[in-house]
Amino acid sequence: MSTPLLQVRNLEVEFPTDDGTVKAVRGISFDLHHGEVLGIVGESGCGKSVTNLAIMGLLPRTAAVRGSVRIGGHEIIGRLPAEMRNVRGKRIAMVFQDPMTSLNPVYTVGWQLVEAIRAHTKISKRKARLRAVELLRLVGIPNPESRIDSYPHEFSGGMRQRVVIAIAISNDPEVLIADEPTTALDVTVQAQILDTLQRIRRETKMAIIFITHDLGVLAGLADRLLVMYAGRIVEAGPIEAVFDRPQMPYTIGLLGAIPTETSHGSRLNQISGAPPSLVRLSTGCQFEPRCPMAVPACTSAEPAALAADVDHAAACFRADDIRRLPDFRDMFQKASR
Amino acid sequence: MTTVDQETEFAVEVRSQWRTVIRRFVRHRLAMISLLVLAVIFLASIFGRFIWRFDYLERDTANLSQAPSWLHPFGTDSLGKDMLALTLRGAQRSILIALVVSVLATTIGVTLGSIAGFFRGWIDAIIMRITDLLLTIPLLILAGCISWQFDGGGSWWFLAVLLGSLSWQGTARIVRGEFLALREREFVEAARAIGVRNPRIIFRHVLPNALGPIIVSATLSIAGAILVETALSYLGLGIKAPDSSLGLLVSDYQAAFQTRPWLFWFPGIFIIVICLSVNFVGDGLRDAFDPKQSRIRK
Repeated sequence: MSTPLLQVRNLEVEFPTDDGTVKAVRGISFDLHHGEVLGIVGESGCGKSVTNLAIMGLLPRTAAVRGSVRIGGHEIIGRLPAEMRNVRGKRIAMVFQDPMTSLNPVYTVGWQLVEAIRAHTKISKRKARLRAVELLRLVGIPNPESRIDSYPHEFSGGMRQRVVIAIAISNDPEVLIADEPTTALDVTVQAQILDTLQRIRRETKMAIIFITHDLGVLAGLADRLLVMYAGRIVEAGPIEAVFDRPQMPYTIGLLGAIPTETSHGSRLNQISGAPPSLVRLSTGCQFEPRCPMAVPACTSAEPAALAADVDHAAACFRADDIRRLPDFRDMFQKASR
Repeated sequence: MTTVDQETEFAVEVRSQWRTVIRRFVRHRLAMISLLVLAVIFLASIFGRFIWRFDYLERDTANLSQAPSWLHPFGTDSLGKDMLALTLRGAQRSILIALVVSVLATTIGVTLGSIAGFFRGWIDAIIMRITDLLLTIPLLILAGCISWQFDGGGSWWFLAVLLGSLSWQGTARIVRGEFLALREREFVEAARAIGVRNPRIIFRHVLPNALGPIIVSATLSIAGAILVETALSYLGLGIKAPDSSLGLLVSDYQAAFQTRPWLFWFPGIFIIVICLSVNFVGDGLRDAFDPKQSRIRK
């Protein structure tokens, strides 16, 4: 296999707070290859966004970051802010969650696109403007020549998110991080944005990290899937394999929360309880208190962190037993009744 | 494509934020009248001396201490000076000082406030403690003491620079507050994510979003500056004769309040009219910039 575009090794992020140190990301490793779409799922506060802010170098100064993030062989962690500025936007770009707030309300979208282009490419304003029109067309905005002089408030939410995507891809980054790009949009618009991302991926061969808490969104888009829980990767694998044969009860819980045809009319399965506090972590597996498959061994030690080069694996002592279950979807229903 | 149809169907009227603000302001009747009054006073104070038949230093010895008449609409003082010319000259000085003070105070206040609000931490602490310290000392006393110490204390520009460099605290606080709120907005993070430098984020991305409150506070500081200049000149610590300012005129002629009231009232009314008008304009701007203000003001 070719050398990965992005290599993350044993990444740890901690925030000191008045209540103690919050261990937001606790030793995660993964690879991202050229043209690959990597989905990261998990509940709120499981470390998805913090992982990506660490890759972007956008964490607040109080955060303690350890481990290694390499893009094209170059280490990112520990670089000076001035050096990171040349990486951000140029090699890694980001699409934010809420298109209502991630565009500056006082400037036209053209102004903001031209600024993004000229932040890394030394070209004239006129050429940058032509490129901006091109980008707007690429993300599917009708009449880009006239819409370029519109203000963000003159666009609908979905159109704004397209503009945000156009800004992110304006310097042909190698990695595009999309942090819940469809969460703030309604369902029909979600589908359009996903289509746009698919097309961009086909046309530019960009690698995409797609963060979401909605497994359904990833189904047609991602190649590989990382499931995160309490700051760790609990399951990693090709998306079909994870959907067909999940090896970790938490993944099963997430899959069970997706409505299916057979579940029509009955209550959706849910994982009872709440994620653990990231300040006071237990010695065992962090999912153990909510896990229907827990055995005494789960409380004494935490399963080892997953390596980056696994094909499909879970950080779970009972992964082998779960693989042999006749119907994994019943697991949570039985437990809750 | 369906998206094309959607776009044209729901095409919104293109109207920038500025046009909305201007439209709202124009509808604010009191503010518009005040703006007109200010414009008339301002133009008269600057160009009036080229038109008016008397100079403010000239003495009409045939008409000493005259009550208002056709020849001297504002009357004359005991030296035969024309009060209209004197009042216009005073208004010119007062307005000039107020404008310089406003520009200077706003520049300093915006710079310090935006740095404090954007960077937070120890930079914020140092700037805001200096601001608090300056807020505890009454401006009138501080400015009076300093201008009394210097020989140049009587010149209008010294007074303007002095007052400007001492009255930025309110603006700094307002701007800091705006920045503290705006820096958390996602577009700031988005600007960082495309590799924009901090100074550019501060001045090109965040500052334009705080422009409304800044313009309002700059406008209102004009009224404040006129009052402080008036007070200082009244106390004899500001503008000195033979130059003139509204405060100096009120001070000079207060003894004539009983016998020749026109000497006292005309400059006094000018002070009141200018300050009221500036405040009404400020109110109008505040309403125009307020996004929650949707009802039309009469």
